Amino acid sequence: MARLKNPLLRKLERVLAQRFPEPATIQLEDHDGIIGVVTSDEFARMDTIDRQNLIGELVETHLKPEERRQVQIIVGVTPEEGTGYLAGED
Amino acid sequence: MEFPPEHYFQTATQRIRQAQYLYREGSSYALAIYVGGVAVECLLRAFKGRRDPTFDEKHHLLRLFAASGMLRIDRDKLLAKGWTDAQIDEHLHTLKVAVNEIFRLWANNYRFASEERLRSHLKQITSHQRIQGDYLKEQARQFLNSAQKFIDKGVVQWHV
Repeated sequence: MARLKNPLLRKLERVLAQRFPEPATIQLEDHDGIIGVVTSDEFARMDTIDRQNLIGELVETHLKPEERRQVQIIVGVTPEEGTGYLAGED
Repeated sequence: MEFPPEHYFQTATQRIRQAQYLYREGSSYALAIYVGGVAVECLLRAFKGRRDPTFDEKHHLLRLFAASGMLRIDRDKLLAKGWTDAQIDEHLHTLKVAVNEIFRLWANNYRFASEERLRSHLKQITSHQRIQGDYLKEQARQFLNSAQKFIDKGVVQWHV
């Protein structure tokens, strides 16, 4: 993914890193809006709907409305599931 | 070969039907998952094509989803058509959950995977899930449920 450039990407990364500390990883990029992947073992115990609810609550709580409008989608995966991400780039 | 947005849209609905057929009648679960993912990609390309006919996202699901503009709906237009705010929020949430599910279970190179290879791969990456019976069949069922939901929502949104 591209290096973080704009302040909103950095702010969002801080918010997510606070909730998902290392060894979790956070990859964000601006591609027609912000997209990203949070990779954490914590998601192994969660259904996909709960993963989206948790990430959505963080975005809702910590970003202003005009900032939220720039966030397209952030998905939550386990480290094992995350291996499929790069495979989708070919 | 170039495809207009309407063609991608028609192909999306065709591919999801074919994926369900492969699951139900063909017991071809690996291929069903792959074709279900292609259906979703076709729909994303349909929406993207209506905004911008150039594609630089390749098969990257999240980039295609962002570029499709599916989350940038015209709320006022939907409200004028009788949707409620709750219905609009539910629509967007369903799209996001489906994309998260498809993202975690699908990759473009699954087209090369045999039934045995994909069964082994999915067992490895989803080892936290408790599944009884045919592991690949159950994963395919869950995946196609998400893909079908995404297509159904997309079809509604396409005609708004």
